[in-house]
Amino acid sequence: MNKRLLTFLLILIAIHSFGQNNTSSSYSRFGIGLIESKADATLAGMGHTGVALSSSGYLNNINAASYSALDSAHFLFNIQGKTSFAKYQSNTSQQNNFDANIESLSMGFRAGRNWGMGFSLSPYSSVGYKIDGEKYILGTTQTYPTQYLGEGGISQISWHNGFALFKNLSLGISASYLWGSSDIIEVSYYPSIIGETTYNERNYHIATFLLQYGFQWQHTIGQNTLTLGATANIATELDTYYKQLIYNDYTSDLSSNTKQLNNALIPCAYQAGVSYANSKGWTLATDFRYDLWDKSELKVSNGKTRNTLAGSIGIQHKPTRYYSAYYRRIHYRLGAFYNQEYLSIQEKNIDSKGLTAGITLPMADGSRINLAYEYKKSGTRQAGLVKETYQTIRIGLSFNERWFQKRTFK
Amino acid sequence: MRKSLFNKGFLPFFVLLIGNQACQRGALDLGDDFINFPTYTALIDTVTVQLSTIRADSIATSGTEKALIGYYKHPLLGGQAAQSYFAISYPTDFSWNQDHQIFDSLVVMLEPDSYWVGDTCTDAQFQVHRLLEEIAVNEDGNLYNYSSFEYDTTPLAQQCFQPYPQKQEPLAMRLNDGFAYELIEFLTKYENHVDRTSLFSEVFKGLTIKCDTNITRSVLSFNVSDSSCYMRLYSHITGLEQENVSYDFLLSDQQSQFNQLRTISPSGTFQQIKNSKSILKAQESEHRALLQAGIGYKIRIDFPCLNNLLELKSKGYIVNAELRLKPDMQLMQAADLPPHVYAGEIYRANEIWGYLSDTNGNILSSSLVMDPMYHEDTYYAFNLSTYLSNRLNEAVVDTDLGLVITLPDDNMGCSFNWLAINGQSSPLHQSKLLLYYYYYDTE
Repeated sequence: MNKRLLTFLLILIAIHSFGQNNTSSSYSRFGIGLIESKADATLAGMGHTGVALSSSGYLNNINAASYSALDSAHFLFNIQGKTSFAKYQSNTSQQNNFDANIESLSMGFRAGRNWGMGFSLSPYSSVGYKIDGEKYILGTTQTYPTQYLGEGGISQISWHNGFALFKNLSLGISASYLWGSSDIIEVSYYPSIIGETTYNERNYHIATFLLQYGFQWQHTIGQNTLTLGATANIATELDTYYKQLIYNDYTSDLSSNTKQLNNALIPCAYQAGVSYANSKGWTLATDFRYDLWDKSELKVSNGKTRNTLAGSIGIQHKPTRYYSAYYRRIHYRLGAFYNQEYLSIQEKNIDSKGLTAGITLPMADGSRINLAYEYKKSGTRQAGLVKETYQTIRIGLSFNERWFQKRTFK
Repeated sequence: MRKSLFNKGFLPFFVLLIGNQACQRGALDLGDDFINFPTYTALIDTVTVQLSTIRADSIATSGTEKALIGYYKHPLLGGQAAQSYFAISYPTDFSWNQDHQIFDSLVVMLEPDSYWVGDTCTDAQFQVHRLLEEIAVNEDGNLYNYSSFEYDTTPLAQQCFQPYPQKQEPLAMRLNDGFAYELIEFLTKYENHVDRTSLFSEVFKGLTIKCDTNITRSVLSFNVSDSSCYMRLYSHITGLEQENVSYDFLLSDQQSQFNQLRTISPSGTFQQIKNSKSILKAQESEHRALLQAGIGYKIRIDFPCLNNLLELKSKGYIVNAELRLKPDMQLMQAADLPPHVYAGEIYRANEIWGYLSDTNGNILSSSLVMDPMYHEDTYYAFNLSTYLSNRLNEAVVDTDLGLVITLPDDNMGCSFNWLAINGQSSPLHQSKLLLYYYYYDTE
């Protein structure tokens, strides 16, 4: 394997593991943080739809069954970055944020005649917030400022396998290891009583294995193709513990303890999708998702978990032959989505909805640059909560290396 | 061969471009409801603070560089008299021309510093007496407030004057001429004697300056240094032109100069304190405790229920602990309040262990907060956060260990500074301990 590629991979993994700041949303304070989409920049342009789309020329990590469609001669490597402009509005204040980071890495290749395989590294959930607050000193009319800081999240490394069982049917399995840590800090300042600034830090560690199964079934209708797909994962218990440390500027350990947290689950989740592709290069796809977060036993202060429904729809146009005009070689996509979030805060839902658009710029060597733009709204200003507006641009670089093809010289 | 996208260096560029960046503008103030972090900070001001008065056996009054002389009436303790003792140093370059030199006068010069206590509107009458006993220091090299030496009851000088301590005009008291002639005679006689210095101090043992307690109503403080505290002999030499000659006899020997401070006709509740091991609770002394320089009263503070706070230890910690000592402003004037008092550790039998220090290692000092209107919120504040946190972390919380509130040592022996502090049972403006406690969640 290309040595430079390997080096960069290692660097990127290091960046990914140590420098997560995927979000700056206050809602990431709750539960295990904000759940991230598995879609790559290609599918993100179609409203994160992809359960019934196959991996050809890109890597579809939403449904592992899609890996069976990988080209046998090529090795696909995808690196994706995300830049996000966020506007957070509460009833009294407003904050603007800009975050940029490497979002995910994935690679895929044909491992056998009917077997496509791949690996991916991506965030499962993200925690990142900085919130100012104020509390009363009980028994007085004085207040003291507080600040809440959160950083971290859960990373997911997955091994995707897609098997073409019959001509029309593929099965897939993704085995993932989820791990991560989040630092949650409450800083209490006491300017009015000249007290020592106190840090209450909790460092959560989470790890678990997660298996997701999927299938895709294709049916040809004339020159058009109808694909049905579905995935499911069974509930898996999170191995969670936290270290708590309370300190101030003078004493590094006022109190510390480590505690195991049990029972929290990543719950069962089901996805189903339909796509329809015609011979002129148009593809229409829609997904539907159902997660049983109600059973996750996650403790959410000020809120509770709930089962979620999500739906998305996307349309793509991809040229079916080579055109000399470059703009005609570009793939165009549009999409929309609606996601219920797995928690409600103060009995308010913070569902998100958004519109997406995306293009793929094919390169001469078979590589692709994928761009996706997303406009998303979530949250509410009711009950002292935050309304969030995001404008996100995802850039994916898909490298198409000819691994398995012997060069011939004339 | 066509270069791949990767080989064109696009990937490093991409990584650099995206990198890990974040920036933020504006702050989201969401209040506490949103976060609901289960910690809180509470004020506990009900911790029992037992104030008492103790009395030091003795206060070192030598080497303070101040001479206290006078008398005043303390509102709690009755009459306080201060008398200062001085040794007379052998003069340098003394020579006497028997034929032509004529003695003029011998004067004791004292330069006041700005400290005074009592009523300076009435005249003060000072008397200078000759010591009949040589000033001998104790084994530890000190002289104390109770030390005294015999003196000639007939004064060498007596002077009535209007005190102007702020003016800092030297006080000159002319001594008896007979004493001056005796001095001149001795010095001429022993001018060349090997042991003239020790012979001199055997004969001229020293002076003490006291006041007439029937007239004087204030105590004045004088600087004791070579340039400010001396006895000057004025003379002149006759000839074609008259030449004035003077000789200085320094009174500033630090080892032997000391202040004798005593209570005249003791009265009041604090007389109950019999010895240095006794404790007089504020409840038994009109709900107040007394710090009194010169005499040696100090305030002892105990936290008899400190053990109860141990229960909180597992749930939180002290963010700030402030001891507020409220002076009895019905008794005291704002000008009486010493700017700083110090806290030390004191154990059973009033054994003082040493001063407390702050987080920077300096002696822990109070800050005086003034409420000039009604003095409801006039108090001395001590930050006891570190002290109490440490106390609670001890294996066994020993409630016999308390705090002593005192003035700096060098201030105790050369002033009548005082402070009456309201106890916790006082009907008005009680002293208290404010504990700000941070309770953390350990669930």
